[in-house]
Amino acid sequence: MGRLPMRATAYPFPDEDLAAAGDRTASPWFHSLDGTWDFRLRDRPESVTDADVGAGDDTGTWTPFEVPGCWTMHPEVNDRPHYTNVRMPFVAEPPEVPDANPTGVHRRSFRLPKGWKGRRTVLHVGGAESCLYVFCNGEPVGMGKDSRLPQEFDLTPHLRAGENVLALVVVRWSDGSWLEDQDHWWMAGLHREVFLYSTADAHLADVAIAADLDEDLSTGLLQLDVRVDGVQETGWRVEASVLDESGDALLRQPLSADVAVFDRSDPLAESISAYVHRGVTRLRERFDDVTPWSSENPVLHTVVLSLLAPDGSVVESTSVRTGFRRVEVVDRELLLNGYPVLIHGVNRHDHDPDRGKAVTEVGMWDDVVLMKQHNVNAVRTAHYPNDPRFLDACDELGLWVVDEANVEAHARLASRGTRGSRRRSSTGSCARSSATGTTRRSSPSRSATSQATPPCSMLRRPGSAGPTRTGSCTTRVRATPPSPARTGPATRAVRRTSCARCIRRSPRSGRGPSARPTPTSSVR
Amino acid sequence: MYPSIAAIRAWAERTADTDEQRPLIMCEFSHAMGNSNGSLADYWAVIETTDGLQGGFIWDWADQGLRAVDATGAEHWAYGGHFGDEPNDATFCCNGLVWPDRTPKPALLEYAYLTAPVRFRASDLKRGRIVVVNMQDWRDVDWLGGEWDVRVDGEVVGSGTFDLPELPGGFEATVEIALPTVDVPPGAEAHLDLRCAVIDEQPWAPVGHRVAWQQFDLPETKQHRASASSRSVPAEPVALDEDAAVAGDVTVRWDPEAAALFDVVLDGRSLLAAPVTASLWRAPTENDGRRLDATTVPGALKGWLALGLDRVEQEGRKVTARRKDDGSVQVTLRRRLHLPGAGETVDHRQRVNVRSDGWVLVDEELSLPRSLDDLPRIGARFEVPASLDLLEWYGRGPLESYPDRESSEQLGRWRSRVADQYVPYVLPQEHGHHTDTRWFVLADGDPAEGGSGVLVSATDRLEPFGFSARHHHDADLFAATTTADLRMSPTIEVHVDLTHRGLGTGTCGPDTLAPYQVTGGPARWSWAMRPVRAGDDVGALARRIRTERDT
Repeated sequence: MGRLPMRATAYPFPDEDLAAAGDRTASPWFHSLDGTWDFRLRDRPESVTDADVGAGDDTGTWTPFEVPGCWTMHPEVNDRPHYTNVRMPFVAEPPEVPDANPTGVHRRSFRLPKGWKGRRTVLHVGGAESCLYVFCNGEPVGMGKDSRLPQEFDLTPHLRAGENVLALVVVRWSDGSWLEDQDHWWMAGLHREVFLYSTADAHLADVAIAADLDEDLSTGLLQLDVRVDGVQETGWRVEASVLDESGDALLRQPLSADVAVFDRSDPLAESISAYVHRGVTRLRERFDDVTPWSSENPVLHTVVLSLLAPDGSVVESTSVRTGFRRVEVVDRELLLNGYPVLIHGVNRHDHDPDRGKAVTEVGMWDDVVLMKQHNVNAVRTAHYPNDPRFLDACDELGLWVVDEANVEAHARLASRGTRGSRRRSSTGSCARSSATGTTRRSSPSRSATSQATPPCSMLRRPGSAGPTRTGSCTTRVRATPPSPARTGPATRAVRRTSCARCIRRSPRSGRGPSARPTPTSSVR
Repeated sequence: MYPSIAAIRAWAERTADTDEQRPLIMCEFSHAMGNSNGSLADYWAVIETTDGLQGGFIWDWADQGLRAVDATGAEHWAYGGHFGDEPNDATFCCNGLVWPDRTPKPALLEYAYLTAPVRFRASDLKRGRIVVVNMQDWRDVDWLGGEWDVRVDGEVVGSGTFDLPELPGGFEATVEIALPTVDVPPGAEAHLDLRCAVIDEQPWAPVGHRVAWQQFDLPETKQHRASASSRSVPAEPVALDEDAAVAGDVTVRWDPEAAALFDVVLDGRSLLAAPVTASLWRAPTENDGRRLDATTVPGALKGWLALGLDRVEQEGRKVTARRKDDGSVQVTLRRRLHLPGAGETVDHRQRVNVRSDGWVLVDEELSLPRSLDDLPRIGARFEVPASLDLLEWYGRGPLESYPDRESSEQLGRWRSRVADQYVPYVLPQEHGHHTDTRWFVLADGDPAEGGSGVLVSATDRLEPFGFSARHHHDADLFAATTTADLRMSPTIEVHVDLTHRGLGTGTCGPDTLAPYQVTGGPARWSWAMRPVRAGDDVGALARRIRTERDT
């Protein structure tokens, strides 16, 4: 409710050079809210007061609290981690959760950075376990669920000059807990980063990048679907340039396309726009002789996108790093860039022994480095989307990624065979429910966070959850439909070229254990 | 998920020549809970040689232990239940290839070994010809350099580097390494170690980081003929005292009541801290059975506890001692093991031969019923004083190895403090075992530099054994629930195993496979021990006892 649509990870920059460099902290339009917040734990969402969220005089005491952080790991907060595998940590029937439902109020103030006034200010909450309510200056802004995906909210109408007070109320248990329900620690809190960014009314709202490799395994096929919001008149353009690893442009002229103007006066078009991708500007290009991305040679290209006003001025730039690669499933082989790459994978949970789910960026990179050092070439983000910065590390250092959705519903899946009436809790409906933050059952008043008794008066505000779509991330193992044309001949050609050097190819079947060390065990 | 090797092989056969387009990539396999990942090499061998199988994802990366301190202020990794969280599933959140602080477990090295970017194959070792196989799909091996060591009886006698050929991904080529001719004493073994290390700094690895390693027998290396006079000249005959045999400054004592060898004394100093008995027990791994988890029926552990293997009583039956014609003393110790849970008894006979050269040869015979079809181990157990805390062994190392998880560990002479043999699994359990051991020595210092202690050796070149030497005894490991409440004993518990159960992945997936299980039936084996003193060449002493029967 009140959430902006899901979007790919990208940050606004004022010009192409800053965007190309990609350091978001160098952008005047990025402002981190990580750091010390005030924290207060309530025993249930109903106990949260107007004063807690900044809507009244507050006389209580606050605990200093580091965001990102799990309050379950905080020594002074009386609410502890809970570990269960399959079963739920409490007794209830879905979607209900216990009445005693720890609720953390995270509060801090901020001043709008210079130059942000008159623009659009967006709040980004990287991950809140498990249900988030947002208040700005005491006013309800929105709410959302899904502990492992970012949520974004438009703060613009709630801001005032000078000091602004932001309150993020996180409820530990929700109907989402039932859907997520993976085998790992149940924590609670704001376990991923929180930041603000600023855009003009007309802005780059989303970009989906497909960087494929043609059958010849050397021609790059780039497709960009750019969604622009806030453009009311014709004459706006989107431009894209593609830089190689050393920062050199692959094209003499940037790709360019007009932004389709979307007729906001038509209510039907308005309501379906995000679903049918109207207003999406598509750019496509072929590139000869690109170096593909692989776990062994993680060659990244940078796509720099700009939104240009009718007068030709750059209103916003952003960049996304991507790699050209081809993924096929043919003849019982997963072909990555034409090769049946043997998957030396590991499953990875977010885990920090001191911080719980609030893993640090250093920790993410350290994990990828340690995996690479031990010849791991793939990681499965068991069982939920990870912080985009973990994917950055995989992109840059070279790991194939299986990017999982945040839904296991372990307790109910396991009981499927014995309790037939619950079979309708299929993963399909779980995923839908999770994404939209609604449940199908009408909920009795006990249900603390699905529909009933929100903190303060928040849910009386009309509004609808925006359309949802997972962000497009680079270099993931994606299940693409089998290509009708095999890439075999091309693959063989690549190998034959090398044979000219009189080096024998080791056949795939020759990868057997013949080279295992000797002697073998003779203990028994 | 967690399919058996038989199941993945069957899937590949079943889907061959069908319209199935998908390969099998196991989203979860080889559950890394505690001391685990048995048969990873067996999985990998099948994956690499079977069309339709394309690898998988080990469960999982890191133990989800949380740093905590117990009531005494000692730090440990907390798991389900440590926060008053009820219900909980205890340690089932700790299934990682690395500890919570990202220290790699031995199992991660096994995975790295199996998935190395370069593999070697012997072509003609006599001429130093090696086939280098680039296991990568695209990348050349130009970022790697070759290193070699030649070992004689585990000791490095020559080292060098070699260049890898220009070699695109998926290709192989032969290189020739100029190996030295080394002297290999009679009965000694020679091995060639090959390694690949990073020579161009990688964003994820410094120069020198090792990515591949393998070991080969060097049977062609020049060997001396065995000389007839390799046995030392017999010293004074061994004296048979009351409940003791005296060979010069070495005294071997037995307890006539318990019918057990309880001490070996060198110059008045005790080298044993507990008698030599038979052991059928190990501190269970979590794969053996999740002892903390009431919701899961423990696996093999359930049967072991039913038999009472954790509380076997040893009853002394009979002792006979006599002088032999060769001047040695032979003591025969007969005991009976009572397995209290089953009412079973097992007869144990030890023939201890105390020789004038200081060696104590032990021939063991256990009348295990065949009905005991899945045991933790069969071996001898004793204790030595904590002062003998310098360990050196010739066998697989440097990390722990088990019959079904040993590929990454290679034969060598390895050194460690006994305290460093501890492998701090989140739930204390069996650890620190070393397979394919030829000998080990526990001493208060390097014998070459004035140390003394006890040497334990195989008595046959072809029959190495498994061993462990730990301050953390089986009973203490079994009693502890965290690393903080694990007691460190003042003595060192030593196991000399004829056989030791593999690890398997039984917490979630197949248990230890049949070839790595320990079955009952009559068991006979031999081993030897000898006090060592300053100046002793333990390698030479052990080689002699191992090859005696050859000459």
